[in-house]
Amino acid sequence: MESDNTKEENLIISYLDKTLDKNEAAKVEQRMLKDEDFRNQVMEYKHAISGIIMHERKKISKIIDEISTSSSMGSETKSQDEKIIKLKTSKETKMENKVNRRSYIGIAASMIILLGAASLFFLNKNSDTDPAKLFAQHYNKEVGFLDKDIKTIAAKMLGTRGVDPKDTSTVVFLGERITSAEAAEKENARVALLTTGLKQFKKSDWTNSIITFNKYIENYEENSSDYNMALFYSAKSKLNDSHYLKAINDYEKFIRQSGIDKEMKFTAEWDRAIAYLVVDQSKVKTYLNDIAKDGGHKFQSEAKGLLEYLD
Amino acid sequence: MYTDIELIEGLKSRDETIIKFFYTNNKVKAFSLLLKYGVRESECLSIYNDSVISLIENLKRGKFKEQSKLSTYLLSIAKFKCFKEFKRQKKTNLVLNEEIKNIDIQDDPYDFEDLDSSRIEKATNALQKVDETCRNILVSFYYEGVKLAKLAKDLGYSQDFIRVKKGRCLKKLKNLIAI
Repeated sequence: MESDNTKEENLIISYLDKTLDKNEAAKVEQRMLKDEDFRNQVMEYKHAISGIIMHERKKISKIIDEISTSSSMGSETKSQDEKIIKLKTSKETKMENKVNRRSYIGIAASMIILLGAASLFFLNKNSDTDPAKLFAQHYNKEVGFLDKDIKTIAAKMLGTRGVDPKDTSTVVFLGERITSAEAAEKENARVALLTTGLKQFKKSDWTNSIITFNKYIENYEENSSDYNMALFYSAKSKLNDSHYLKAINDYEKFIRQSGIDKEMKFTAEWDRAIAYLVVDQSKVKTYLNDIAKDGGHKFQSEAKGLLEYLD
Repeated sequence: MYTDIELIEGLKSRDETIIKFFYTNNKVKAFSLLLKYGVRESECLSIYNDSVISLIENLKRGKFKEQSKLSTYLLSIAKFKCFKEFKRQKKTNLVLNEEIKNIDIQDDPYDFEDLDSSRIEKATNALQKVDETCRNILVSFYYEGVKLAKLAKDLGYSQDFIRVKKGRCLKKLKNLIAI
């Protein structure tokens, strides 16, 4: 025989498990309003059930928190690692230059290429063959000309100041005829958006820089130097945040634009080639070959080295 | 690159690589959506993290019926959470569309709003003190939403036996909180 206490507790459990019918549940709720001891008993059980749920939820929360923290700090840590790699590379380059200075100019040129390729070859031979790791070894998250770009854009902002708001003359802005004052305001908003994106990029805030550059690309016309810049940094942000395919798409579009900056073009072509290491290896060699054949390409020796390794 | 089936299995089994992949791949889309709805930048991360947790829990509880892509389901949860938060803050500029209303994005099977957080913490710690069988039954039933019939079948007991056992385990846990 069940004691009254046990019966009552079973009733509470059934109520919380939602296995009582409507009438029974309503009776429990009414009793909770009148009987404080009974209400306290229900609350005790509710706390016990919530403890079970929180106990398990904490396990997932811990994983999510770690990912969340590492994705915001990861960029700093990784770029520190990259800086170390970069330091090593520049040290090696300096040594190579020392050797080359002693030689004839003609031999020196080929030595740089050979040593560059060889150092990459040996570096890679000792490393992991995982495509993602191979990509990380050859990828540089930073953009050397970022500060210059921020300054260039900031200068445009200053250039649009000083328009008389009473000026009623009109201009065509993004296909729309508006007053000069309105155009100046819109131009300032455009420049401010691009500046925000660049600053977010500088802070390694990839999530927000992607959002900002996407917004810019959606709202402004193609083929202007600022549009191209937004497209380039959009691709770079995506790659820095491990969105390989999306980054490749942006780079493809960027490379097709007219009048693009040479430095940006070299970086875009190199980044696109090595991003394919992660998503589609059949395309890597095609793009690396294009770079390796281009005598004036900034990444020619790297492309040759990587090609040799992949062969 | 993973298929939705691989993602579901990985998320359900709390595979950290899969969770990380899913989390990072949907972050930008979710943030864009939340910012579009007017969520403050500082609040986006906590809503997004909560949404991923809810998604994993809902997958565990079999709430995801695969009527949509997993990423769409996550965005629905994020929108639902955003709606809930606005309701709490008495902002009403967000309306849930029919599609989202029809998706089972039930947030919490139990309502904890009137509970004392220090007692919940006590219950969380007390769960470690109950024996493993009890803990498994309680977690399966209350957290994973496993039905008593299935639990009975899996453990090789009758449904009545499991119902009584679960009741006793819960009482044990409740008594541990009272100490």
